[in-house]
Amino acid sequence: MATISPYLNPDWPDAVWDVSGAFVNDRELVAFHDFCKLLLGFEPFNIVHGAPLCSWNSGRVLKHLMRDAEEIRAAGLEYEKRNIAMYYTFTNLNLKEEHMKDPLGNAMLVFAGNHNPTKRNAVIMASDALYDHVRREYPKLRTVSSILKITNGGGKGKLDVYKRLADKYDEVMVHPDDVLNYDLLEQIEDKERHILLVNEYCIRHCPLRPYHYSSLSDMALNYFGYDGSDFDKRQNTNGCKDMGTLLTHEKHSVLALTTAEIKRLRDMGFRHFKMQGRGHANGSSILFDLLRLVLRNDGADENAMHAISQRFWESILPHQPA
Amino acid sequence: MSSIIKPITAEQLMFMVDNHLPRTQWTFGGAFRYDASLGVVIENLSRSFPLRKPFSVAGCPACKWSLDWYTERRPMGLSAFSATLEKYAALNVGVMLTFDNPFITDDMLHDTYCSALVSELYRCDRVRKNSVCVANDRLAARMREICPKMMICCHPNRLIAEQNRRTPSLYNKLAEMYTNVCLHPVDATRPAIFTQLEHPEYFSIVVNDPLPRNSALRREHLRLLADIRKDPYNADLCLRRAQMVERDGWHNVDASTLRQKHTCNLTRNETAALHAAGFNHYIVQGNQFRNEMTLLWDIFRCTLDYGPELCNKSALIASSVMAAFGQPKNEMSSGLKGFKFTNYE
Repeated sequence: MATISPYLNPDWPDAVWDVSGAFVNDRELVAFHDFCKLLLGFEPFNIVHGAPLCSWNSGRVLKHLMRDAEEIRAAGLEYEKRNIAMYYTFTNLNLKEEHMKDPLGNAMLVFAGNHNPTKRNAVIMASDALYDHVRREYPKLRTVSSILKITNGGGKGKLDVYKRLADKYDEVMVHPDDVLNYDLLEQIEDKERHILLVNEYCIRHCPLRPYHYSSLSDMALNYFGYDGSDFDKRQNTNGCKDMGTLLTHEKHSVLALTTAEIKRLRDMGFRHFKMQGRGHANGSSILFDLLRLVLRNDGADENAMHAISQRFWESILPHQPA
Repeated sequence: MSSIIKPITAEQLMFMVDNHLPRTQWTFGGAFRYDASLGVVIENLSRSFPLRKPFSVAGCPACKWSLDWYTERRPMGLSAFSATLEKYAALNVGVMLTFDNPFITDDMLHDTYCSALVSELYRCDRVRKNSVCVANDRLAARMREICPKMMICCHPNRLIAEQNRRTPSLYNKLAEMYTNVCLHPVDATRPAIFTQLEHPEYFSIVVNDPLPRNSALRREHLRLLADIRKDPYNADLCLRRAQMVERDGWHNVDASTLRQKHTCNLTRNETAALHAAGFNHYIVQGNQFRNEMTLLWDIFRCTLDYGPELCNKSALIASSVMAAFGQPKNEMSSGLKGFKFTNYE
């Protein structure tokens, strides 16, 4: 039996972490991975997810996701070197057959097929057209049903929808609110193929979620021309960004999970936990969450992990602009 | 307007700190090194979670009375210094000007630049929260000459440089001489000392000192830093410092230290004991780190409750504040971004 690293969070030492930030925080994700592997003796994660700004990408449609081909390639090669699988967030709801010729999307799929040491590279999708395209042209890549799929397909809370998705896709993202729907979760078979988001910093039962996702998909197809002011206005009054709501509301407090909530999911048999974090224009959020979720936390009379975390930060070298 | 949003008061957020240093005053290090970032953190903490907005920031421009742990910084012009003071004043945050060099010789006591910093600190103190923090008693006396009404605090380096044994009576005596005294980081872990202090409210506690509790090299290290300050181009001194750090294992990551309280980062139990003993001013220091992110992460790690029940909400606060970094600034595009330019003041 493999020894469990003393630095791993003992509440979920066998968690399969699926970490946000591919093609945006690559340098930092690699730094954290290398720090854990070289100095702490374990690999903190073997899956990263993300995509650069392109018409297929949804979920996060932001300026800081713009990348050129060489940057994408360089990142992919670093992940390959470390046996880290890439899950592309090609989650645009609105993709049709005419979008399947996208050169960047296809180039990335070719790359993922050719640089796939773990055989786990995958495409997270919400569009049936893209699903058919990937299955047909890139059969070696795994398929994942996106959060957008379950949300905008009206599948929240519906076991039969999850079953249909699990039959079709290799893995299925669970709706963010369903991570607390224990009755539903108990009934899900093959729990290891279902992915749970554990650090969603929006409100529980957000009424704007489907609109948010559909507007992102619209924006991805028309980045420079899209008018997001209606969404911004609704978000500002919805409570998603209101700290008082997020911290204290009985029904709509923050959806990010407590320790007990994550443990409960793990005890139920779930292992694949997703960590979001590329929505910020800097990599601190994902690194903060990696430190608190992947590594063990100090007990009340301990401080070793505090010191180790400080040493992680001190180990990151200055970033010299090109 | 949505019915989800309900206005709440600071009192309603007290549950977030009830089990972790409630009703305490904080000082964040890094001033005059990381001012842009500190400004963002303070501004956003004021909005998101004002319970942990700091009372003051601590730091000092490079000068004869201060030390640099890593790269020797270039001097800061007085106008830039005043502008920085004003930025913090606009946030209603004080500045603790830290002259942390304990090895001040007579010829250094009347340094013109340093004296001007102090005068300017006092002149710009419109929020009445500024202070100086010194590591040398003669320098403290000099402060009283320059600005008799300025709050004068005692820096931990004064205790690190102390040749005699550190005792409660030494601390109580210092508390009579200074407005506030910062404990030696190791003494904050020793109830035999801190429970004997007559007025805990006159003392400050550094919560995130990363050096080993058993390090015998602190004083020698400060001496080296002081020598480097006097002779910054002496590569031999820098090499000696690097070798000392390595010898003492300051950057080691070692499984055998996992359960030991190896560094002076305070545990939850230790801060609880200090708080129960009446200490209510805490410092997240930044001088000992070479990376800004170490300080920023420590600010959240130390001020927020990351216990199992509140870790998600504390993480939310940290994430929310840090989201402010990297936002578009509406600056003009530049074709020379990749090149280095040197300001001359």
